[in-house]
Amino acid sequence: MTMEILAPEVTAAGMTDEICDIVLTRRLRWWLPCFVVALGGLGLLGAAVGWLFYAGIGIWGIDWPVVWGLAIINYVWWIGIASGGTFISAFFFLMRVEWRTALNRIAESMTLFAAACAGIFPILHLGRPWFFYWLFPYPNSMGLWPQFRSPLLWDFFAILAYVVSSVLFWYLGLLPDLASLRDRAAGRTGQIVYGSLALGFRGTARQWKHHRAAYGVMAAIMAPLVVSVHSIVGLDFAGAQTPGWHSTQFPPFFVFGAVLSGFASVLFLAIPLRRLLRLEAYITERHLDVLGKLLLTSSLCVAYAYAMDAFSVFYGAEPAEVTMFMERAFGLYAPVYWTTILFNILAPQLLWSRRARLSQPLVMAISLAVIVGMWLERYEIVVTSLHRTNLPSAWGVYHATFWDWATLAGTVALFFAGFLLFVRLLPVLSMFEMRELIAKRRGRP
Amino acid sequence: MIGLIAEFASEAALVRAVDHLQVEGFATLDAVTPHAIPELDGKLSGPPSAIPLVILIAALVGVIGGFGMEVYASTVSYPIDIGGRPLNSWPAFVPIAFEIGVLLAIAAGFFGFLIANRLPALHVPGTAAPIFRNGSRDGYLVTIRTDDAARLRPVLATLDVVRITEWQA
Amino acid sequence: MSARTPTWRSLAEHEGDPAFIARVAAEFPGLARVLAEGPDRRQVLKLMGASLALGLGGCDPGDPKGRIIPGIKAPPGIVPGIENEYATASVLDGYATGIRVRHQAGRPMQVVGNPAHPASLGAVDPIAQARILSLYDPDRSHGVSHGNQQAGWASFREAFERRRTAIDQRKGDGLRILTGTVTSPTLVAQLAALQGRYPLMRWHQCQAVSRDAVRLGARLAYGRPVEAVYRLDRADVILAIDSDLLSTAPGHLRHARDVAGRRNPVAGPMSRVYAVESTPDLIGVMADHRFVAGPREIHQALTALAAAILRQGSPQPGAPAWLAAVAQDLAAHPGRALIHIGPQQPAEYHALVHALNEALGGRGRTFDLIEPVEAAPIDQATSLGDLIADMADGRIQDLLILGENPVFTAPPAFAEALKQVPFSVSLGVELDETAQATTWHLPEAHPLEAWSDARAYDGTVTILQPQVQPLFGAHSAHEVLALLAGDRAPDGYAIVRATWAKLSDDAWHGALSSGVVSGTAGRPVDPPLRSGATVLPAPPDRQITLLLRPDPYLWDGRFANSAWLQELPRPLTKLVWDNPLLVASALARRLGVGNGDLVKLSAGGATLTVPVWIQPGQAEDCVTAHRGWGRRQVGAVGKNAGFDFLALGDGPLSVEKAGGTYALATTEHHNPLDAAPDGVVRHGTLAGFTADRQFLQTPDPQASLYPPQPAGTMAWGMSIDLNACIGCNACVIACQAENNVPVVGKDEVLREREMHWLRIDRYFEGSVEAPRVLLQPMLCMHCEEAPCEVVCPVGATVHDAEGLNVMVYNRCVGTRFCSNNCPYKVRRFNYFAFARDEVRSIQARNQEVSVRARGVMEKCSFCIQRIAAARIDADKEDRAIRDGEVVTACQAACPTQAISFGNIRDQASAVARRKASPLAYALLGELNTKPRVTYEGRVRNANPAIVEPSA
Repeated sequence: MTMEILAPEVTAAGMTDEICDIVLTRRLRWWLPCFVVALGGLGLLGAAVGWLFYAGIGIWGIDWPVVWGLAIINYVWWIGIASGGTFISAFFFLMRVEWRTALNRIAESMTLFAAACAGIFPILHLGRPWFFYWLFPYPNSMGLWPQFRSPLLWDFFAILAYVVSSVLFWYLGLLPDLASLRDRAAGRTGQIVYGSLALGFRGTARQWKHHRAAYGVMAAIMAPLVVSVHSIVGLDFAGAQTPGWHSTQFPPFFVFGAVLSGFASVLFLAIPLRRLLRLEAYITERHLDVLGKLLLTSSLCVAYAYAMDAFSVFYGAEPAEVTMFMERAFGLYAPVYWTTILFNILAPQLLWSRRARLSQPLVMAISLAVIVGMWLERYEIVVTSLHRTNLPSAWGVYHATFWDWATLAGTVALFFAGFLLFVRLLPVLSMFEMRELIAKRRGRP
Repeated sequence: MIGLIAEFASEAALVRAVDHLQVEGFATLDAVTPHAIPELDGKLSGPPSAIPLVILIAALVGVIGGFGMEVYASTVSYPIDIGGRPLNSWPAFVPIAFEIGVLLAIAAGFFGFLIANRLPALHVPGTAAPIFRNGSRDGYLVTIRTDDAARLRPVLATLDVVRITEWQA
Repeated sequence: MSARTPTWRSLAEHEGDPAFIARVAAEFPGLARVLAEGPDRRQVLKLMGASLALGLGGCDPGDPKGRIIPGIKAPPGIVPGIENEYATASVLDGYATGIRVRHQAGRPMQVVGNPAHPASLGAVDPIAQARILSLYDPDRSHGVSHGNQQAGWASFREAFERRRTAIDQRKGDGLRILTGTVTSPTLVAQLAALQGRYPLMRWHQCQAVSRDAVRLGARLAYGRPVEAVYRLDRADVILAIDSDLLSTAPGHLRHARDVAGRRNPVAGPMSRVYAVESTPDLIGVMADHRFVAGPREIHQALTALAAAILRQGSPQPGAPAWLAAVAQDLAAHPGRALIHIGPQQPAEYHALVHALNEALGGRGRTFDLIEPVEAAPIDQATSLGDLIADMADGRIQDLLILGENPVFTAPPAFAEALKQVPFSVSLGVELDETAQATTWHLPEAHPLEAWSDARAYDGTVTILQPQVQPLFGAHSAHEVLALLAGDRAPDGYAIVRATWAKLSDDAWHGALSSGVVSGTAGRPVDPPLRSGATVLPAPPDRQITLLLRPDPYLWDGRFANSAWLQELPRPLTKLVWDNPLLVASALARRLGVGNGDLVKLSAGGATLTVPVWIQPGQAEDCVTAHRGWGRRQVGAVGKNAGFDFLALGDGPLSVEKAGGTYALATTEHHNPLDAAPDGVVRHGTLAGFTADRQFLQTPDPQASLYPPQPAGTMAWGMSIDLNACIGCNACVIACQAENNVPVVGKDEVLREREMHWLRIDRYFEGSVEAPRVLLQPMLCMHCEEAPCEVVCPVGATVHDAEGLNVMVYNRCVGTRFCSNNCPYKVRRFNYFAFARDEVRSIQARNQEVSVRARGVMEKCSFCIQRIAAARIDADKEDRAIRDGEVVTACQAACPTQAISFGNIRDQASAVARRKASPLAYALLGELNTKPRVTYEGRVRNANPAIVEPSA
């Protein structure tokens, strides 16, 4: 069969009505149970964070040699997942790829909530979280400034810029669709709420002109922004001379990793969503096919990074680096390393086959494997590097505690709670772009 | 003075109608469309958007200002020996300067858009007509303000209008 | 509670003072309750701190006679901010080591060394330093008790007066006094006086850590008690057989200094040290050759030595291979060779060693013989045996136990027999097992609270002067003995002063200020060596033997309630808070156990299940257990810490795997032998050094892109001589005391969160059976291009103008990136509010050093507070800081002067000269961190005639 980006029967009116109905009228039986579960998870997060603030980060498993643990791992993991949305909505917008249109709203929303989850960890992980704002260069009576050479400070600014920009970019794209909701809303509340959210966007010629201009340029900025964010996250490690971190390839390495987990997460969300919301007409198998290829490509990039990571260790032949790497590959944490290889490199190779790419359960499984694998990769980078540093006298081990895991689970719940609310309250497709696409195709011979 | 809203079925029809009406000398036109229509640029919506320029300026302000702040802080305001590095370790100042630039640029783009369109404008007089709701669905609307509807109607008749609504402006 | 009770210095004033008793009873409001509730140690400790403050608040405004320093209110002459130091001594098992106590705002705050004292020359050992903690220990006994009920001194006096008539009639028969080893002239005089009044009274001595073999050995060799004093600085060749020369022997600080003075080839000709050990000790770490020998091999070695040296014969068959070479080396250095054997070895061995030393011509050169330091050198085992027998037979009506804890340290028979004694009195600083078992318990004044005197290893007398009024209404042994003698108002000062009546007031004051009574060093005696003193008993059978050794820090258990000593890593195992059975790896393999696995020990009917710890370099046929652990009646800190092996006795036992494991906390968190220390602890042989003095140097790392930072005339730096370090941990405790470093407890150590700013890294090299041990004190290197600083986002760790890497606690938000980026991992993080929750009372904290909050990083500051103090003095006199004016706490405590510190820009400074040594190297210099701390590589003066299996 030839895979279309749009089912032929799709019309602008039908599409608009259907997507709006999901929000305005349709009953989703599965939604409430899912949301309740997510809320339960949020409760756990609240408990974990409350106890953390009360007792101190000693409740985590971090220790003297391994002073960074799950908090940093989770942070890097979440921020990597967040990248997927920005890549799809910004990069492929610039490339004018048509299949992006049906996915970018889902992807961008995923970005928002993943970035939110990522954003809380740098604060939680501080010894004195109530002083996190000291990283910000604000005027103070002491005449103090933050220390601008520190990659952590770069990171602080990068995350700030990334979260704010993602929200604004997402909202700008949402305006026309909020207008559609306002105009479709039957009830007064809906009209008021969506009317206010739409800020009075009506789709006049000049509004569209500015919208196109702003949206295009912002997309052109979001693309390098997301790259810079993950490069800086990489520099959080490469900026230190710790064995296993001190590598010039880390910035691209981290970008690759982020993209991989990002695409995997988009797939992992899009496939069930497509079923549950009956979006098959808009998110066609063609989309899954494309995403599958992207997953494979980014997996190959990551494979290259892993190879270089190993190669540079032995090429440089620093004894400490070699010791650390041998420990990573064959020591206490070896299972983590090899699982990482299996999940991030080997599993996606199945996607060479078209049949595999079209088998949704398999793609789901592979995506999940990659998501988990990328978490393990960060575990390997953070923990195995720190537990074998230059001085043998400072070698130790790390074991996460219950509270470490509770915090991770809690942020997963936070993500899904946010995403479920999005599905329930906002259009899951970028309707105005879809209409553009439909019009364009209809215009074609 | 009355206003007419003509709905068209397609982008092409709308563009054709706008051209024709302008030839006919109906100047006070505007369009309400379900998506952006590049062909209308320069016809209805005036000069090209200035937002890209605004964004550029904001970005430059952010980058230069941010970099300046870092240099000032590290060399003048708070000169402290950090790891034996030079006070002005400018390469280390680049990332933050870039991020500040990006932040300002995106903010400028978003708020520039609102300002350029005088948004938020939650109530616009005379937009209550139900027909406007098609504008965010699949209706391509043209609003015409004129004094002699008599002359307008025949003109519209020559165009494949889906339907026409009248409202007192 | 801050209400003042009137000044009192004698019992008489206190007779029937219910207010006092009430106050003592209420000394710890709430503590009892919390203790009853149990485990939350942190909370208990917090309460202790609080109640302790009250305790101090309750004590006296000062000594009207101005002889001593009060605890709380500053008398004239005490200027806040101006510190004072007062000399006294730290007495352990009778032997005194001179110390000074540092006072802040008139309050004793830290124990430092006394350079004027021959036994220390300014060094100070961990036990002495920890006494400041025990002084303020809220668990101390704080009141007279009768049958474990609160009582008062008055009621005790009445009770004793009632007995006195009977005692008088019996002429003291049935009255016994039990003390430890006594060197105090005052105490001896008092006992003699008492003996005079009660002719049939008997005085028993027993010390848990027995030196009977040393005494008897000397008797066997010379026919009379003598004390051997070693002059190790004059010894070119030293053979240490299971020796405690550097660790626990009287004068060990002096020994360490003397040996270390001969261990750096740059400074002068190196001595050569051989160690023959069943279980590793500090001398074995320093030794050029260490031979692992079980009891049986030691016997063989001695036999062979006797043959080789006394009878110039060739060593017999069966003698260890290396022995011939060692004997030859010893014989080749007449008058400059010395053999030392540890107190745990039989008396006959000691006698033989005396004979060998005589044969080697050491008398007057490498050792002197002086009159015994202790007052009555008797065989304490016999003395204790008699006491137990008499008690069991009901022949004892009145027993007075002075300052010892025999119920815990003596065989169980003692506790049993004690029940037969109708009137038993124990005088002790803490409420220990003996205090519970005796009918009366009297609180003893802490050594830092009382007047006394004691002799050092060479006989030198130190007057102990109290540093503070007794905190808990306690009294010294002198005062209690005086009470027995009928003195109604005993006054410790008067008693001690009377002993030294011959001293003029000036001489007295001189003795007090210097800490030494001049001219009291033991006179050399010249007894002839008895012939036939060299007969050895039959060799022990080859079977697994238990070596019961004193814990290096808890000693016989008397310091079990000291959190510092509990958490001080044992020099070779790095274990804290526990005393597993130390076994050889071969034995562990045979038993199929590893570190922490439980084994069942049985000997003489007693059985005990304990965890094992594999001790590299342990002899296969013996296992080592440290005493002093497993206290049954002890304060909150020492509770449930370790195991009491005493019941098993010192001798053969059977070991079998028990199954199950036990969590053992150690500060070396990695498998000791998987690390190659070559680049880290640079070391080589003397031969290599003489061939090329630069042989430990590596090519410099490439030049840095950055200008040398910071410029300026002052640049603080440190050099550490790895040849001198013996791993005694004195520096670690000194740092802990000086810098308010918190104790974290066993659980947190298990989580790898110990806080010591200064740690001593230990590496093994060679086989597990007979490894070489390499030690390396590790503290902040104060890198000129510090990686930690660059990564701190808030600039909480920065450089100052004199090159210190300073930590700004108030600015730290706790990202911990600095620790990640520190290649030396010398930064410590407050995962919890350790300082708030630790046992240490506020009084024992250094006011000059801020206490770190939760969530803050901390590390060695080069004792910046001392630098600041010196700078203030220098500025007042408008001059530069002199070399040696700033002495870091670790440097001051170090017995071997391994650490030198100062301005490296001043080429004349000691540290600059040490850094110029061809052995000096920067650790991980290839990382271009430019550390301000450098090390002098370790050089082994190996005997070419000996090929080591491990090498």
